[in-house]
Amino acid sequence: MLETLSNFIALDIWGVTGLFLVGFVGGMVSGFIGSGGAFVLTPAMMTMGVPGIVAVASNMCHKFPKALVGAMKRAKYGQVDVKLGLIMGCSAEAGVLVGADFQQKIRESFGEVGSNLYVSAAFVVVLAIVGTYVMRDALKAYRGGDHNDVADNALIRWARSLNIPGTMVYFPSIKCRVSFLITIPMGFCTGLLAATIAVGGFIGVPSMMYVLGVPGLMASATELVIAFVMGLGGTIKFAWAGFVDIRLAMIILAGSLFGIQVGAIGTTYVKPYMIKMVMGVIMLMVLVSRGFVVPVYMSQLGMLPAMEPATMALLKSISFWVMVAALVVGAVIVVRALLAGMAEHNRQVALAAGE
Amino acid sequence: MTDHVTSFTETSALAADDTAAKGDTTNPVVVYALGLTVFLLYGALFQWQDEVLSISVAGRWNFIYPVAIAFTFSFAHGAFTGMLWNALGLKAKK
Repeated sequence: MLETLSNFIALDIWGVTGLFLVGFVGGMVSGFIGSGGAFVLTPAMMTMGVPGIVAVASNMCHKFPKALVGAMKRAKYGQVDVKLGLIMGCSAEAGVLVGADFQQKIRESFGEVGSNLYVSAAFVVVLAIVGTYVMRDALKAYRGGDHNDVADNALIRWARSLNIPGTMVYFPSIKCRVSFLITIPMGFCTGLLAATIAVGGFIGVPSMMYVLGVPGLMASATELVIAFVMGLGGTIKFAWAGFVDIRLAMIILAGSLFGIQVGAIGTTYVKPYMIKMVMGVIMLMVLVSRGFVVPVYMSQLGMLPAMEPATMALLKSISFWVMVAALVVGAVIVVRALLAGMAEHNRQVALAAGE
Repeated sequence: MTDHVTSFTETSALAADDTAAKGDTTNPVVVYALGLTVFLLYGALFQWQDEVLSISVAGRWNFIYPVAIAFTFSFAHGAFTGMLWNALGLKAKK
């Protein structure tokens, strides 16, 4: 019967194992920084022969249950601002719909290559700006031994001083009332990015940290609520059109639920700047990865001189493996930080017991 | 009297520690039961993959099937993975 369902591939043991492992590593990173992992899954599925739209749809369908489990886990640790997550989730959903439509229009006007160039350019611009900022902030905190997780800048002070009657909402994560209108562009851009590069958290988490002053730990946990809302909406949209391969989604989910627990537990042991550090490292590595394919798409569109097919294949391959490396490096940092944090905790418990 | 009070306080503290420890301990039977449930769920999904796939990709209101499957698997498998890591000693810092 599978032959009649032309969009859906037959699964073999290698494909299943590969997706399970990528799901596990991606889940670990998501549990820790609130997002990530999804950017590798879509190309990984496409490499297996899954059509692009089915890969995006199935990725989305594993994302919302994973985010739900992660959010529930981190809510137990008191790290989730559910109200902020749901409010931003609504505008993020609008961003997803607009972003998906925009993508569709670009595909119709400039073809598949134009769409790929747009996605890669969005990666490069967003990750270069936000990734550099997050990384600088993390390094500053690391070098200064600063354990304060809360950012302070003019934008945060302005956002908190703004008083628009009828729109003020109390957010527990920042312990003050802020106009929910401020969260609309934040959520919208998160959704827009999610529809474009599959990882809205690269805008969602930094915007919560640097616009509202939400602690990094809580921002990354709250992002899971936004991811749940966006993922559920996106899944319904794709499933309505019949593009979700539930088998692929559940295989990835199988691995990612093992990983997300590890990532979530890790947040209780590490120093607060580690969230920013992991996020910054992943963002900058993905930026490098995308940088390799931008010339390929520009050459295909005639914006650069024609490239040899072998060169194009090489650049695409390098880009994919740098992206996989970004995920692995992120996961290794999470595991190392978790193990170091647990060892330190056990040492302190032993010392306290000895006193 | 003081000894009694001290003794009572210590006993209460020990009992509280014990309760906390019990609350933190995962019942192996529950882990096995959840593991078996997850195994059966995945087994059923792949045993009847053609049927499940054809229903879930029919589109329109059939979107309910993949969404319901995702919720069911996430609750069962999410609870299982949480308890499994806990049983293996990977616990959050209190």
